[in-house]
Amino acid sequence: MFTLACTSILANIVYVMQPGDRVNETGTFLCTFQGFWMNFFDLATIGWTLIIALSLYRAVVKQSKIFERSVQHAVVWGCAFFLSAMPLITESYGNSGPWCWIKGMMGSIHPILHRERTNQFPRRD
Amino acid sequence: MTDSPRRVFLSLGRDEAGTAFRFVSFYLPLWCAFAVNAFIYFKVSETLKRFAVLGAENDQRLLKMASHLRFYPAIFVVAWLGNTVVRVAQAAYGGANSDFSFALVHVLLHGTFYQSMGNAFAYGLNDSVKAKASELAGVIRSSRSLRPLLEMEAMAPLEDDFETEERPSSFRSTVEKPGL
Repeated sequence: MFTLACTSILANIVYVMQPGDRVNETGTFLCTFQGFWMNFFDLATIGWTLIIALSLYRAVVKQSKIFERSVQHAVVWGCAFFLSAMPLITESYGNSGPWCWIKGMMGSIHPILHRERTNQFPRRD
Repeated sequence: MTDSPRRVFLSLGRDEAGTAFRFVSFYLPLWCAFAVNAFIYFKVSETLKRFAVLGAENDQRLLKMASHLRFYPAIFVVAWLGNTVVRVAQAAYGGANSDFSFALVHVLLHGTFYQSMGNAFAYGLNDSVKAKASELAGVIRSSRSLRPLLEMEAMAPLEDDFETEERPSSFRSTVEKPGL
């Protein structure tokens, strides 16, 4: 629970970070930095709640030993890093509204629909 | 002349991968974790209720603990449902991030803050913490200073409370301490 609290604090700190001189400019180091750590700590927070649930399940329902602490850390930080590294490798971090996160193409689930409705291709922002 | 779907898709650049990654790298793991959490807390709650029915000691405490467990998956829903709906709608129908209204909706509905607050109350606010907070509030009131916050002593390990008060003796001896 201490680790969960620390992870939550770090996740919230990343949100108030100002990514650059021009706010949320895609492609800058600080924008990518904020996007990566935001995704990483948010996923880690979720991971720790899952670890607490699994530990409770093993202790109460299965009545068996819980996972080693080193295994818990390896799984949570490892999974969060892997999932956050994928957009990093593909340069997908960028402007995502009020902060930098994984940038998206608006209306990209159905670009034809978007094109017909707005008479232009989905926007990159 | 109408563009073929293939041409339109080919014209989309690297940014479209970002939209996919939003869901693959974040929302999918998030809602999978929610499903697992909900299932686990349901099973744990059922087990605790069974122990209470079997006449284990502190059965009222067990029932209270079992009913309390429903808050954990509820935190996920409260924190992330609005944000997920907004992102899916944005991906499906468009809407620029630069719009003030979108920025406002993102800030108000973003789940990290709500998840952190919810976790703090649900996981952290147990009887020991409540007692310590009450004691600390009393000291702060009497001293009329916030200095006691900085001079706080470490609390007794929470596992002791869990071990002695909340588990029935029928399975206390067989289970290791969670050590979370």
